[in-house]
Amino acid sequence: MIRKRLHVSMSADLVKEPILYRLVKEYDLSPNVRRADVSATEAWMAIELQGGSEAHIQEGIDYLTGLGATVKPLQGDVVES
Amino acid sequence: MSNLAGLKCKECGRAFDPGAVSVCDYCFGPLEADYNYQRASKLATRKKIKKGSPDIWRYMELLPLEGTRPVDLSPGFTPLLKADNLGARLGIKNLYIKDETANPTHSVKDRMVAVAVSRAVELRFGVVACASTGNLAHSLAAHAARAGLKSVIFVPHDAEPAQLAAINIYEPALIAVKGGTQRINALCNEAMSRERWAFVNINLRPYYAEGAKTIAFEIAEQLGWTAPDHIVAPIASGSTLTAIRKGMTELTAVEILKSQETKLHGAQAEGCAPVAAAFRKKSELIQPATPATLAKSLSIGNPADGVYALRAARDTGGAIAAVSDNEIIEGMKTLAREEGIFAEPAGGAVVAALKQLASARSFKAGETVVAVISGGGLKAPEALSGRLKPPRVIEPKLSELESFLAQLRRAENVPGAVDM
Repeated sequence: MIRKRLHVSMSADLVKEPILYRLVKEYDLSPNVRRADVSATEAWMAIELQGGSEAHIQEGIDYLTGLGATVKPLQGDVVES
Repeated sequence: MSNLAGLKCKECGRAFDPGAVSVCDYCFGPLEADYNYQRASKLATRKKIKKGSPDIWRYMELLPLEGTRPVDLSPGFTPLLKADNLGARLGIKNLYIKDETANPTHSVKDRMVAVAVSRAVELRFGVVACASTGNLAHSLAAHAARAGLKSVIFVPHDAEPAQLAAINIYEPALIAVKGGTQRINALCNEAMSRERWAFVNINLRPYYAEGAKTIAFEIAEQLGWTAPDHIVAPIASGSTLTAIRKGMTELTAVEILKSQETKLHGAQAEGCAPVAAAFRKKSELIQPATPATLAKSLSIGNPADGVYALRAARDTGGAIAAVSDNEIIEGMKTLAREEGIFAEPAGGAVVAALKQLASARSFKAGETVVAVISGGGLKAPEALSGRLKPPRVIEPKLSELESFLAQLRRAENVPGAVDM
């Protein structure tokens, strides 16, 4: 199994979308939310996404970005100035 | 005996042993060094610090080392210069420049790398590593050489030739990776999961970040143990501004300062300004940016400490400015012309941010403002390509020289001879 730590953020209107449910049911991924915040204008969560392969996890990421969410590696850029 | 208590999650506060770990495995928050401040307050006194060596190690009581002799190129204790010429130009009476170009490899990174490599020795790593567009790589290669450690350095395949030479002279394992930042990020993460390397800005990040807080200690000490009203620093990964905040806070925690209310300001390039954008939108979310600026040392699209730099500015009443490439070049020229300091583009961004903040009346009359100039311009000369007046080429004849001087006098409307 492959695990990726991701930061997922979205505008408030996406909050109504059951994205975690869909990641599980439609993409067979296992999301584990470690920290999150939902406000009136925006929402974000720090998750660990577990799947069978890199490509498998990428399908879930593509689903999220397709909805308009921003997905980025949790730790930020490794490359520094 | 060290004052290092361990590592602590910045988000949930969980405690961790001080090993090579940077992320809380519970909430995924970043870890930072935690100290026994009560004990440190008895040891880190103004008197003791004054007797210390003229570098970052004079603040050893608040650095995350456990007694090993540090890997030492004597970084820090850089000049704090009163910048009256630049101040007059910008309308800031009490302006100071913290000149980080005076560090051993000419950038602020020496502070961070010195601490991280010293900690790598304590944790018995044989190899240190990083991925960098220049300053960090240069500093790591130098400190690894000094420590007798092997270094593995990843750079973008299109890194600047001047930077490559400055890294390569120390003979690290230098790897130029094809593809963009995302590819290098992924490769480094995979490498780190397989090799027992001290990746100074990843698994040793809690220690690496600590080095930068010594800027705050020095500024306060060089101002006669007072906190300035404002500090302006560039934001790339966000670690410097975040660390300056921690440093200012720790000075009150150990009672060297009774209080401090320093406003922290950041400078980013418009072509890569994810933190400035979040500040402007009053958001906590840092949306990744695709860098498009000549300021390579500010080209971090997904800054690891971006949210903490954002909070440092917001919580202290500071601001984050985004400045154009033209403003950055103009800032570099102004700093050189007015104060004799040749900065990298990040320094030009800070000068441009000072101008923006002064115009917005962010500084009250008489307030003390410190601008952090993070690195030297010799490392990024290509940024100035075609932007400076070329030299006048003449034959070695007095008549040609006189003709040129006459032109110069006319152009500058200077009566009589020009002093050369």
